[in-house]
Amino acid sequence: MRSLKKKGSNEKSEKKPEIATIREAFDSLRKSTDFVFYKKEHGKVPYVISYFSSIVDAEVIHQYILPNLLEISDLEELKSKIPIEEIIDVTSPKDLTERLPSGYVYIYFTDSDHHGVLIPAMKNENRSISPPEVEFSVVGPKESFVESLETNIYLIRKRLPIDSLRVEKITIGDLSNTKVAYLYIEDIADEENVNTLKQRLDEIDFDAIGDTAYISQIIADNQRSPFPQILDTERPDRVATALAEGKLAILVDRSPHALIGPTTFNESISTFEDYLLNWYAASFIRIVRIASIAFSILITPIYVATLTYHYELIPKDLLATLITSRRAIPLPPILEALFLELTIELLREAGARLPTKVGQTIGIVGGIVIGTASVEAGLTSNVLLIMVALAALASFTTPTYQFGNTIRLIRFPFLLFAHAWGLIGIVLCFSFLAGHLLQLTSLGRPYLEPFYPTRVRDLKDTIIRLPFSKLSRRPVHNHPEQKKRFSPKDEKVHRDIDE
Amino acid sequence: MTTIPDRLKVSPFFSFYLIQAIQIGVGILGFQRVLTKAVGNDAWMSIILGGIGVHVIIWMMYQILNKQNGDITDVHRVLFGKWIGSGFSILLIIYFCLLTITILRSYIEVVQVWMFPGIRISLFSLVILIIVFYIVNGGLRTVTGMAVLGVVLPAYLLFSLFYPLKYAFFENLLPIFDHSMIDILKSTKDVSLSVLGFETLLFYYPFFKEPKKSQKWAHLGSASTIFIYLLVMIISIAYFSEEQLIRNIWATLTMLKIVQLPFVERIEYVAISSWLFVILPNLCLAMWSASRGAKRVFKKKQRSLLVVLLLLVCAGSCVLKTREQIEMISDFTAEIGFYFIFGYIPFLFLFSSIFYRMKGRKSA
Amino acid sequence: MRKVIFLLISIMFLTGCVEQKIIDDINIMSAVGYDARDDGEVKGTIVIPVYKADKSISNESFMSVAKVSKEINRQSQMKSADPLENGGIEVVLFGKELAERGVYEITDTFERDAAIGSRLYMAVVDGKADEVLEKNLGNLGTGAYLNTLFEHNMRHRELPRSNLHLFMYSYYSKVKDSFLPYVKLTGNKVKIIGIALFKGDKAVDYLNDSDMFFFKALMENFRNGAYTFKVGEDYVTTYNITTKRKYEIEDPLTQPKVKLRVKLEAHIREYSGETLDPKVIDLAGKSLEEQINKRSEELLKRFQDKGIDPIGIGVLAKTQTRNFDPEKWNETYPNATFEVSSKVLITETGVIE
Repeated sequence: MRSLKKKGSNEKSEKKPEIATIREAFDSLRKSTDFVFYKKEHGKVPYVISYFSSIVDAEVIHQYILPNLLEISDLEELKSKIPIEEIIDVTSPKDLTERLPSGYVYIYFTDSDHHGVLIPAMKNENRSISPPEVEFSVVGPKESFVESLETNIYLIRKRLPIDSLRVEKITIGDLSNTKVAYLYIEDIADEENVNTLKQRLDEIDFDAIGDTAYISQIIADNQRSPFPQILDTERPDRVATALAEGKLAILVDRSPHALIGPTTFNESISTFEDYLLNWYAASFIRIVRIASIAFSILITPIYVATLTYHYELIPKDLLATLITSRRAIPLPPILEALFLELTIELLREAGARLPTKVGQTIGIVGGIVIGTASVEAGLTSNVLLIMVALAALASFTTPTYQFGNTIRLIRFPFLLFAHAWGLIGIVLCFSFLAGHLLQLTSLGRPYLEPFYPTRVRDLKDTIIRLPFSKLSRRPVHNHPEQKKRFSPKDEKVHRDIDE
Repeated sequence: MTTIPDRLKVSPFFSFYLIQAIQIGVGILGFQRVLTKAVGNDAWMSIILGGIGVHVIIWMMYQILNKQNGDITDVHRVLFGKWIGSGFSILLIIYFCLLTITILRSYIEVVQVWMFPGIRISLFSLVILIIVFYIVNGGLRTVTGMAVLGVVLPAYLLFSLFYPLKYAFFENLLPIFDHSMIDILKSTKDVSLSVLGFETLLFYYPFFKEPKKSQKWAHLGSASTIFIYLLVMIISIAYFSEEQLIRNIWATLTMLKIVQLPFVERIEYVAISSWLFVILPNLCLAMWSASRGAKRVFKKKQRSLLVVLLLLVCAGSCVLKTREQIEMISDFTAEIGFYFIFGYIPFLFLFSSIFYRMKGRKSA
Repeated sequence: MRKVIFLLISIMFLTGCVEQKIIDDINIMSAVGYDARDDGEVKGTIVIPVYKADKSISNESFMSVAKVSKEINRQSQMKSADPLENGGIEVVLFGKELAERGVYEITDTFERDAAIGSRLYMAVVDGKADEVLEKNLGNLGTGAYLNTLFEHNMRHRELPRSNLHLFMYSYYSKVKDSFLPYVKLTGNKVKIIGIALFKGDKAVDYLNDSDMFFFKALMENFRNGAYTFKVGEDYVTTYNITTKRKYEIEDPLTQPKVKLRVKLEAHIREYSGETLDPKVIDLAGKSLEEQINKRSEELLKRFQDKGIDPIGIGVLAKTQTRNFDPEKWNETYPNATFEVSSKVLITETGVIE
């Protein structure tokens, strides 16, 4: 973490030799082959126009810039004629080196010794807003973020059309010059949280920010932890409701994801859909989800532990099935389990790297053919095959992709501990995990809240989600400045039958 | 006396878990034997009496600490001066280390006898102590979290007590007062031994956000412990015949052998494994207190002191080999603990009240 | 921290793990039998289920002779290809001769062993235990067959509950004696033929299966069970019997008077006569009451004569006496008088009027 933070402000200047004049800057830019530069003599005054052809929008040049250039004779006139705002006078070579590569067009009159203007004409090629893929839900809005910061902010603003929604921007990354925006609702979000986030973002010193995931990993409280400490989502509706709870959101230009913090363990295993369904159904699905996460982590270790050490535990009727299924297998349970687990991981990874259609085929072929074949070849028992397949299935229920990966990973230490000390090993490993989670924080706020530190009020929206009428307070976890969402009506009149 | 930053403090509510987590430990797996030897089927009465005693002591501890508004090392320094006070504190630290060794080694013994006869004591102790280090390293907040887990997670085992009820003969409880009141009073000593450890309160008291408010929860925690002990004792008396109970070293575990579930044939193995959740907060809390005390006395970094103490404990647990040795060390610790709780704390209580009265008079 | 975790994992795997018992590499014992030999030695039979590839289960048995029962396990290990593990024992059988010689040495081993469950069934065999265990009984293996045999008979039929825990409970209790089911090999099946009553750890008396019903009624409150009895010339079979019993004792230390009240509810399902009219039902109830009174009293007297107390009359006496002295109770027990009264209620008579 330390290496990514700023070491000193003067370090930046050491990287490049200073470009002294505009002409020099211009010459250095010309080295790229997509740099276009030509002189036009047919207008009133001859001028030079230059830009990076790959990043500017040709339409802008041909429609707005070139026609107007024919009739003008000085820069002031140019600025007033061309219907584009934000035309910049070039004053230093730095203006050139910074703006040209990001899509500005540079125009100067030949007699002005390189003194010209920069006109923004960047290409704006974006995906249109499409339905969410990772966090798909049957009901609810079908919008997800796209790779444009402005569009993403628009998606949130239209859900929270209030004046207190603050959007603050900073630029991060010496090479990528990524625009990062963080959002919060001023009267609700805790000031301390905002300051923490601000400080963390300011401290980032990384050359090229590729995506929100970079930010989320760099500003994580504990980078050694396998757990994602900031939630990422592709749903603007989820971000908007999180902001309304007093959380903070981070958007990164060119990334179709948003980050939400401070987050909790509980949030990683809940989806936005939980709020769209009836609370009974939502609670039921949450319980199923939690159970399947536990199942997916623990079932193979328990298999290894009982088959290696605790034969007494196995019910007598199951014993026959287990023993007959393992009769011809030369591998001890741990190798058998590792073999299958790794096969599943392999299938998953291969499926993820291949194009969708091929991926599906690989999944089916791998699942059926390899599974059946390895049972028949006597490499694994069919009981374990069922368990591993179920565990894999269960691990897909984790709603956030990043968290799902963590679940995939932490199964392996459990397996090794189970092999070493049976059930006690599993408990040992679990204690380690518990100790780790207890110490984990997200933007300085405890990760396990509201379970520990116990916040009885927040427990209303954890394993079960109570109806909205009961969720009158914002989660204490976020330390919201305004604690109440709404004032519940004091008491509903309980009417007797037929009154 | 030293101020503790707010972000390290815990809510007073957690004293419930802190007290209960350390009072329930390896003791509850086999406390019935000694009690039955002494008072037979009246053992449940000594548990109630012992429980009342524990409550009185908790009250006294709060009285002592409330006056001082610091931990026990502050109390010692103020009452006895720097040198003698530190001496007392060091004795307390040694006692907590002994307690840790006893708990750890007794648990390993259970594992050895019931699950893995061939387990390496040194390695197993080391691994457990590494976890203890990892948790204590996170500070009292993490330790408290572990205490909450240690109370909540193994709670499912209470349901397994339902199964022995099918084989219970409650007429074993009759006749009441088969033994003299004096015998019953004497045996309360054995009760207090199994709930030892709550004196760690003397160290974590200043870590509560509003220490005085935590007293209510501490009493509640202790009461719930006594209730669980009482429940287990009554069921044991009904489930076993008297001599059987005297013969069984781990009567609670033996009782679990009767449980019949469709998916697990023998729940006692699961119980022993999950008992680690109960043991860990015990160890963590005792080691936290010991290292905290050492920090206050020696003015060194708590982390390095913790490592030293853990190494001592590990060595101690490896040295003990036979059942007799383990019994000896646990009896020894229990004896010290008993006199500490029922001798030293009342003394301290009286001394401090007189001290403060005198002081008050002087200043007036 | 990473270093610590690395260290942890490496030491864990370098120094190896604890003793492994991988389920297909061990032989899980399912039933054990002990017989007395004339020279005072004990012959032990150990049965393990053998799981075949076609999913059928057969048995394999190991027999060894040794001075003490504890030695048998060791002797058998020497014959077994895979280590024999005793954590799965479901049933222990004692030959009649051994049961009369005393079984404490064996049951103590079982109680002491943490791997063995308390729900273990034990029984006395009329004849030799090894004859039973040599047979291939049931299609899930001999151990499973015997286990389910005892289980369903105790839960739904007239066999009173007994297992290792209850046996040891009574053994150590100074005021109660233990009993075990009494079985016999008949052809390819094992039949429960009664109850073996113990004094201490020695079998001293055997009840036949017609006494079993009354014995269970004396022992415990139960549901389910059937009993056939004669009403006049015809036979009536009652099902779904629910009994409740209540003991009272007076003057336990001098001249004990034991009063037993039995309440019984039953359905009649079979009747060999013509019509089952209210008169017959009434008669059947009366006749059952009489039988219960008579047979129970007989049983109690029989126990008294043998000097045993499987019902736990002594427990009753103990609950009413402070500083109870078992020695003194043993002296007064033979003087006790019994009085049984019963009440029978026939609740249903099947689907046909």
